Amino acid sequence: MEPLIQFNGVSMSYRAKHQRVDLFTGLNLNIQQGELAILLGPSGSGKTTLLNLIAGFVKPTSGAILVNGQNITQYDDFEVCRYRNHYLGYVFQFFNLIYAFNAADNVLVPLLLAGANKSKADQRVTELLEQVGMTHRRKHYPGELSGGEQQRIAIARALANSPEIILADEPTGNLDKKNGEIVLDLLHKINLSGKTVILSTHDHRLVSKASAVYDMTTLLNQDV
Amino acid sequence: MEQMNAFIVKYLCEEWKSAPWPSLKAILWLFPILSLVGMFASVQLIPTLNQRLFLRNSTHEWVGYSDQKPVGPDFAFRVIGNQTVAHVISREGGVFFRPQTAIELFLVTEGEDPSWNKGYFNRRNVVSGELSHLTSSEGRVGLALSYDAAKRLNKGLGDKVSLIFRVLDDDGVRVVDHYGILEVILRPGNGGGGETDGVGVALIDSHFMNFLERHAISYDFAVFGSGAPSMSSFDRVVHKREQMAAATLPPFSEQYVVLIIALMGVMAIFLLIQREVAFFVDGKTRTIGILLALGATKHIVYKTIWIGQAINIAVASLLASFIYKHLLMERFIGEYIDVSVWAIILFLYIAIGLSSLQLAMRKALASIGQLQVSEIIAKKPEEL
Repeated sequence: MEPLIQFNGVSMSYRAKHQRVDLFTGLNLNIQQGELAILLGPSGSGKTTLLNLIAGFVKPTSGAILVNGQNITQYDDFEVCRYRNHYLGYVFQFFNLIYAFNAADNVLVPLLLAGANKSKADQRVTELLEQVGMTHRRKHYPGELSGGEQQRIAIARALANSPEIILADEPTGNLDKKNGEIVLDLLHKINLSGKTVILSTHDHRLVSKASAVYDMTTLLNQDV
Repeated sequence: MEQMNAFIVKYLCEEWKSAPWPSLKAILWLFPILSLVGMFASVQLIPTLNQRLFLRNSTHEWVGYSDQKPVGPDFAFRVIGNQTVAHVISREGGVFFRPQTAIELFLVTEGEDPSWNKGYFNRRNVVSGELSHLTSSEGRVGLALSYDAAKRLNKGLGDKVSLIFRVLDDDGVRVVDHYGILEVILRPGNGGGGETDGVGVALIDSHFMNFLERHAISYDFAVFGSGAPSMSSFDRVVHKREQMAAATLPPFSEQYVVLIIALMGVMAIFLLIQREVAFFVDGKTRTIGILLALGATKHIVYKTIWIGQAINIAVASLLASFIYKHLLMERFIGEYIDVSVWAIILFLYIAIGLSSLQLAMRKALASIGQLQVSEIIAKKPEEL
């Protein structure tokens, strides 16, 4: 079966103080559909950059990233926005909810951007809030929610357009142990429902349940 | 397109609900500047527009006025000694003739006790002037209630107001008061019969005429006509409609100061809008980054900012046009602003505002293009 995500000889470098720093050189990586892939590694090892490459937030210096057989590095601005909105859900370390919107409206945003019908979108929001156990907080603003609650809303938002891929960048990095477990549990359930979940973390609690674990140190030192 | 609009409406409504102050601040900055720009830019234009409206609506063949004060035939309609002499009420097609500025007589509201000057609130209903101001170099007196005075007394066209005409001696001691009634504005009528067909005078109180004659105060009046070939026998210069229609804006050399001030105002509006847009983009970096990360296109972000700012500009323009119509112009220039003129001014305000916004948005679009989504979403909210 063809992998859902393929990194073919991806190199990534950036300039720091007039010096070129190579982050990856000729990286090859395959992630299968329905996998729970965990990226492990210390800070600065490139986990977030790898997720950002998949999300199309940054472009590689060279190489190709294929998602569903499409080379996303060749997408124009419009195509990459559509790809992010329809095929990806991103869960951030710092939740990144919009402060002016309440919980339900934050979940509604990707649906509105995707052009969903308002009544169907509202129905979908209700379903998602129920799924993450936040129905009772739907009218609350981010400032009125705890970190764990904000992250659950962010997960609901990531699921809004039923994307195939969920990216989670240190989703428990800003949470206490109890809330961290709730969030990891949710992500695991999402994976069990058939979604491909790619998670960067320091947290080893999900490792036993993962289909693939990538140690960034090993990954980045692979032979080209 | 529809979905994009649904998002934009949602976003703008929620923004307004959660943080209305930035928008209010922008409006509060913008509308006084717009008012001032309009006032200076149109200071010479409004009288000409008014005259055009008058000529379009009036059925009179000619309008006469004093032959001493007008600066020149093509400008006489508007100015006598740098003062406004005529207010045009287009719906009536009448001319309000003012030989001098201080036509505002000693007026009190009808039926009021003459001891009006004892109380502050009564004073608010009084418009006063000096008799000496009413006397022209020929010793003639024009009688009419100025538009400003009528407005201050809250009187409309055709309403009547009571009048106290007070004569003081050389030492400023009151000699005699006369109480009369005056109509707010002149209307054509059969004032004198026979040769004076078509003459209308403001004064409708015959006792007051007697009072003027008794005190040897001559009076002046505006004349309207459609039948008589000439009004020269009345010692007036009569101008045909064609001559009045020839009135043009004064040469550039006479209005460069107001134009420069107006241009400076337009620059101020542009800089203000540019600053607002830059502040908005800067203050909303995190939100813009999140929206881009969720799949919003730069075009949606651009359109959201544009519409938000355009609403501010429209509200500020509306406020500015009301200020312009009701306060500034009339206070400083004393012209009547017709509704169509007001609508043109509103349109010009919005046009200036939106043109400035368009220019400002080019810069904003460049800064949105430079935003690194990956950097924004990785930062703590307090770091942005």
